[in-house]
Amino acid sequence: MQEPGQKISLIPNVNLKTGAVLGVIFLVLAFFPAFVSSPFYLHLMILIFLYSLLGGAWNILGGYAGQVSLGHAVYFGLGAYTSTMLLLELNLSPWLGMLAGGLAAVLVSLALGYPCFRLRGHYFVIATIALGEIVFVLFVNWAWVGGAVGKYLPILPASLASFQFARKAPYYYIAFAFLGAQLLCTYLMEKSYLGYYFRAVKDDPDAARSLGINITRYKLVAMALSAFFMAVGGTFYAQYVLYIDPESVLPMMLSIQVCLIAILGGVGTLWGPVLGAAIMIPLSEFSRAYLGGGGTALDLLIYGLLIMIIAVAKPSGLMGIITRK
Amino acid sequence: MVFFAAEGITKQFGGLLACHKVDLQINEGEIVGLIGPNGAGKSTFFALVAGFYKPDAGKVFFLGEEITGMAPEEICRRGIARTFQIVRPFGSMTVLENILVGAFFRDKNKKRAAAWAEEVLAFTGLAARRDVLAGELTIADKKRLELARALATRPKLLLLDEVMAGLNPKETQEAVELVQAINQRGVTLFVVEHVMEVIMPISHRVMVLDGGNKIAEGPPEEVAKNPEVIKAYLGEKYYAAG
Amino acid sequence: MSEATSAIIVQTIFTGLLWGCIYALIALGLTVIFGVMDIVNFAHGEFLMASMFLAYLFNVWWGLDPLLALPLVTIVLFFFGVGTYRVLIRPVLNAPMLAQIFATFGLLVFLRSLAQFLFSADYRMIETVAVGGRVEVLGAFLARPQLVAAAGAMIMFALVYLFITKTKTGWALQAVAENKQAAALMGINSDRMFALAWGIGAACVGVAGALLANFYYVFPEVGAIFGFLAFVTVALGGFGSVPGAFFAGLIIGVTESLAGVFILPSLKYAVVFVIYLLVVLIRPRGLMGTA
Repeated sequence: MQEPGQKISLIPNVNLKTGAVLGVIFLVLAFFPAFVSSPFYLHLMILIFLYSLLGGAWNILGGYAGQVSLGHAVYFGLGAYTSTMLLLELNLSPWLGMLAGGLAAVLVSLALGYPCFRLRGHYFVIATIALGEIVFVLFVNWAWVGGAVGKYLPILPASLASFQFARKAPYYYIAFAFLGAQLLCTYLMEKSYLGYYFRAVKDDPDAARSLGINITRYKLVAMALSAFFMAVGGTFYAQYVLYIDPESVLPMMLSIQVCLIAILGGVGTLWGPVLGAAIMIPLSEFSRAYLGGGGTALDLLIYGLLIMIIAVAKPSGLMGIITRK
Repeated sequence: MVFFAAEGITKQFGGLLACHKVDLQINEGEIVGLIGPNGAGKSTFFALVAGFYKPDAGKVFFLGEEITGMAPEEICRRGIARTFQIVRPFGSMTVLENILVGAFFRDKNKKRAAAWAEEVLAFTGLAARRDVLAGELTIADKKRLELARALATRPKLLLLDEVMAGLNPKETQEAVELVQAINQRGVTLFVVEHVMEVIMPISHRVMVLDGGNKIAEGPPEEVAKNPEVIKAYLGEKYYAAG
Repeated sequence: MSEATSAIIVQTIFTGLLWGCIYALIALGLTVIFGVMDIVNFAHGEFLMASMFLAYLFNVWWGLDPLLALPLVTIVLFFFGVGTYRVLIRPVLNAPMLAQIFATFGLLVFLRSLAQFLFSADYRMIETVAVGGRVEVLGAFLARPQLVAAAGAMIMFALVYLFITKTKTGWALQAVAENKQAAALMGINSDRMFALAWGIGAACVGVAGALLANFYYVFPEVGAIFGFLAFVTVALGGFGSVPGAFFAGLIIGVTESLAGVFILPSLKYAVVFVIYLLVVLIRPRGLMGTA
C-alpha cells in the first residue's frame, strides 16, 4: 500500500524524462560561460536569470495568491537603494546590504500590504499602481539618495567579498544561484500548506475563511516572500550595473515587465516566469540591438499583443500550453 | 455547559426583519434540523451563526464561549465548520487538493494532512473523483466535496446549508446516508433544509422558522403534525409522515 | 492674506476647476463601462492618448483644427470602443477577474508601445489652433483653450448624463448595470448594451482628447498620468456613479492644482495618489459609489 502522502504531487509527471531534460538544461547552463565568452550573450543570460527571478518573485504574490500588484518595482528599488546607500555611507558589504535590503523590502511590503489587502479586485491593483508612483516621486525628490541623478557605486577591486567583478562570468553564476534559490523556495512553498492556502485565497477567499484560513495573514506572507526576492534582484542589479536611479530601479515599466513575464510564462507555476523571461528578454535585447531606439517599443508591442491573446485564449500562459491545461 | 446556544438572535435588513429573537440550543451528538418556507429567514440565521453577519441583537455561545459576530476563520478555529448553499469549490484544484486545504487547518504537516485527507476522501465516497478538477464535478459531487472539505477541518459542529438542494432522489438518499455516517462519527450537525422529506428522517430535533420567527421546535414527528407548521407550508405539497 | 496670495489661490482654484471638468469627462467614460459591466478598462488612458494622436494627425494631414476634428475623432473612438469590446472583452466576460485585468492591461501595453513605435517618444503639439489666447475671469487669467476644453467637457458630460437618464436606451443601459438577468428577461440585449457602454466610454475620451490636443502635449506616455487620474477620480467618486465622477473630477482637479502650487509641482501627482489611498481605505465605496 503506497504511502498516502506520496500520492499528492503538484508537478504532473515528474518522472525520469522531465528530470533528464531539466538535468541537461542545468548542465548546459552551468558550463555555458566556459564555452561562450561573448559579453553580449553572457549579459543576455544574466538578464534572463535576473528577470526570471523578478518574475518568479511577482508570481508568488500575483500568480499563486492571486493578488495582482502593478507596483512591484518598489521592492526592487528598495533592495537596490538599501544595499547601495549602506555601502556608500557605512562601507557595509553588499552581501549584508542585500540582506538588509531584503529585510527593508519585507517590512515595507507588510506595512503597505496590511491596509491594502482589505481592498478587493481592481481597487487593490490601482492601489499598487498608486504606491509605485508615490515611491518613485519620493525618491526623485529625495536628495540624500541622489534624487533624479541617482547614485554611482564605487568601483572596487573585483572580488566575491565586494560583490564586484571585472568579467561577466561571476555575475552569471551568482544570478544563476539566486534564481536557483528562488526556484527552490517557490518549489518548497508550492508543495507545502502555504502553496495550497495561497491558491485557496486566490480561488475563493470567503470559502478559504470558512476553512479557518486567515486570508490577510497569508496574503502578507506571500507579499513578504515576493518582496524579499525582488529586493535581492535589486541588489544584484546595483552591483552589476554600478549605477542606480529612480528611472532604472523604480519605474512603472519595470513593474509592468515583471508582471508580463509571469503572465506570459504562466501564472502560478514554478517554471512559468523562467519561460516568460527566456522569451521576453532575448526579444527585448535583440530588438534593441537591431532596431536601435525604436526597438525598445517593439518588444513591448509584441508583449502587449501576447498578453491580450493569452488573456483571451489561454490564461494559463505558455506553461498551460506545455502541460495542456 | 451547553454545547451550542443561540439566544435572541435578531437581524434586520433595512425594512425587513429577517430574524426575530430566535433561540436555539443544540446538544452534543445531535442532528438538529432547521426548516421553514421560502423567505423564512433560514439562510440569514445560518449566516449569523456561521459568522458571516453580525446579529443586531442576541448572542451565540459555543462550548461555553461567546462567539457572536466572530470572523469565519475564528469560528472554524473553535470547531465549527460550514458548507455554502451555492457551492464554492476551489476550481483550480483537484478534489483531493480541496479536501487537503481543509485538512491543513489542524495540521500543517503535509504527510499527516494528506493521510487524513485521503481518509475523508474515502469516507465521503469521493475516492473515484480524487484527481478530478473541482470545477468539473457534477452538482452532487460538488456538494459532497463541500461536505468533505468542511469535515477535513475536524469540526465538532458542522453547519450544512441546504446541502440536498438540487439533488435527484438517488443523490438525496446518498447525501442523507453520508450525513448520518458523519453524525455516527461524533460530529454534531445543524442542517438547514428546504426539503422536508429529507430532514425529518435524520433529525433528532427540528426547529421551524416562518417570517423570521420560530414557530415550532421538537422531535420531527411532533413538528410535522403541528398545525402552525402545516399552515406555514400551506400550498406546499407535504403531508405529515405517519 | 496678501492680495497677491489670494489672487494666486483664486487662479489656482479656477485652473483646477477647469482641469477638473476634463478629468470628470475622462472618468465618466471609465465609470460608465464599469457601472454597466463591472470591468475596469486599464487601457482607458491609452484611449485618450489615441484620440489625442488622432486629433494631431488630422491637423497635420488635413489642417483640421482639433475642435473641428472633434466629431470625427469621437466617432472613431466610439467604434474603437465597440471594437475593443467585441474582440477583447466579450471573450473574457465570464473569465476570472485576473484574465479581465490582463486583457485590458495587455491593451494598455500594446497601445502605448504602438504609439511609441510609430511616433517615437517625442512630445508633439498642435501649432496653430482656432481658439487661443487668454481671458480674464474674476481676476484670474484663464487660457481660452482650457476654458473651451472645460466647457466642451461639461457639454459632453451633460449629453451623456441626459442620454443615460432620459432616453429609453439609456434606461436599458441602467437596467443592465443593475441586473443583467432581469434586463434580459425584459428583452434587453445585454451584449448590445455592453458594446454601447464601451462605445460611450471611448467616445468620452475621444471628446476629451480632441479638446486636450488644443493645448496639451501629445506623446505616447500621455495616457499614463491621465489614466491614473481617471482611476483615482472614479475610485473617489465611486465606481459606477456618474454624479460621483463629476464631483470627484472637480475635487481632484482642484487638489492637484493647489498641491502643485503650494507643495511642489513634482509632488502634485503623489498627493493625488495619497488621496486615492486614503479614500479607498477609509471609505471603499468612494463618495457616491454603489458597488
